[in-house]
Amino acid sequence: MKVNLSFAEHSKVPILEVKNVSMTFGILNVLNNVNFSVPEGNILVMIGPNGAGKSTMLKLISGLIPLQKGNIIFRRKRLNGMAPNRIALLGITQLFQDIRIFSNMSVIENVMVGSHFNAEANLLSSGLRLPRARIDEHRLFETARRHLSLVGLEQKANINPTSLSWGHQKLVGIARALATGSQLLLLDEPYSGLSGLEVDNLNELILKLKNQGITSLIVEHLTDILMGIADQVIVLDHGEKIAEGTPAEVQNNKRVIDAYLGSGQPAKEERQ
Amino acid sequence: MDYSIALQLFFSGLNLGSIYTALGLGFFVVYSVTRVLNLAQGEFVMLGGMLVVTFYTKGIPLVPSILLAVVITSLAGAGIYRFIIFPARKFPGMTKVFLTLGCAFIIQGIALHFWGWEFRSLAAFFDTPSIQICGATIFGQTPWVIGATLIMVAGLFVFFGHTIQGKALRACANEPLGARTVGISIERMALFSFALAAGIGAVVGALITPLTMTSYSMGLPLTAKGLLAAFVGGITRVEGVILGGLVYGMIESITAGLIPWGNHNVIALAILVGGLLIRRRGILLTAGKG
Repeated sequence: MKVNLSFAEHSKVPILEVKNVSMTFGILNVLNNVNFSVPEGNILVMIGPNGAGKSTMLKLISGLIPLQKGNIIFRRKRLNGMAPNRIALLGITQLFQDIRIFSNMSVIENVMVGSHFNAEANLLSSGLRLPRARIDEHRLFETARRHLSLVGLEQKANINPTSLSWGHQKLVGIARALATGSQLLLLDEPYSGLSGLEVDNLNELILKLKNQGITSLIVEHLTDILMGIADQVIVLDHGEKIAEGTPAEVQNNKRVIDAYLGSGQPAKEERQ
Repeated sequence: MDYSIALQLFFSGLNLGSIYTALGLGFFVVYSVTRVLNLAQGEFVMLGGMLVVTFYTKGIPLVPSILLAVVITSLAGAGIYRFIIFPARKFPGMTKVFLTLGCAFIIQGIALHFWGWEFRSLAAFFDTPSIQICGATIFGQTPWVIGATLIMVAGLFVFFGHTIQGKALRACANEPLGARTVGISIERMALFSFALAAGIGAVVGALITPLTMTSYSMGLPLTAKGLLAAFVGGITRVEGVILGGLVYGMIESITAGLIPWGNHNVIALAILVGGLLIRRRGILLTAGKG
């Protein structure tokens, strides 16, 4: 039986559940029995000092590191042992700090590759440029253009992405992720290397995507720029979750103040 | 120099250039997707040639013989990836290159076991007669070599440059992690590239057997020449492979025409190595780029 949920109820349904996840590298305990869930359409920010295990958590979710212990569930489907490309096709896309853009093709081709699995034409008809293949590629081209338009890069479609600014390259990465049909974006330190204006633009885009129902899980240690957009904040320290709640709750949490926010200075210094 | 001799050297260079271009295409396909230099590529050429001769002499018509050889050789290529390269996928690139060299010797040994050391040959496709133009002779097989190479070049150019699947394949080598996160299976693409390269190798084997004959030991010299030609032009672009192949073919033809005492191979290779030392990223400056 299909149940229709209101927007408020819908936003409480977890799109992602992380249950009892632990991870060790040799003798180093990187994550220790971490639990959290991400409601659909929310912006969840994971903060913590360097070495807290934030990036490892993202890689476990995207399948780039095999899960050792615990469960990761995306829309009621267990991701344990699943290859990264299969996880991506389910609707989870990780965006790296260093973007990993395809430098051997144009901006729009980068985005089109994101939707390659939507190509209906087979290899033979594509190779022979049969009408069916051309129609198919035109469809993918138009879809890619829409995604570029969404991130504000439609005018840069035909240039090589490496000639763009760092901030624009990050937007190409997001457009490429959207082209995969991603419903959950895993953003690993997306603000690193961005100017003040680019940070504001990125925040605006993440909010725009939220309004379209796309969930974001952002890993960052620049806490001040995220508190305004976060629905929920999780704080990791030495591989353990030490706090969870709204930005205001987390900012007033004593353990968080002691472990990370208390110093106050690092975040602002790093941004400068 | 006599005009007809110059023309003969040109036609011969074009023929050799087409062969080296076609050889280079196999390296291009695997390198573009996996960044692995497949040193077994010459063995696919040998295998294709041997299989075509075997099928054809058993009474199977030429075209089905070639198709069968292409299918079997492609399966061999896919098998090499699946059972030898794939298990070593997390090893450094050089380890994989040496593994392909090991595969080359294995294929060579199998070929020696099944076909012996004798050279085998075929007549020109469909007994195409030689053509005389202004005193120069074009061997009957040459138009087939040039035509088939042109078709393969055009096909790969369109496929890698203008189709979404081709771009997804190129993305694998350019940024493997980025490719994975947009749902591309690097392993599946690599398997496809090995099978495609092996199939191209089999076509080359069929094409050159009427010209050079084929034997179990012909693979490694072809690997060396094809790889060098591809690097001289620029291995990451089809245009580079064509350029490298044609340059090498022309140099070899001219040195063979001007130096009668039989050292033309050494001289041609020396010129290419010298050129590569001066322009280490190839004529098109593409080495290291995707």
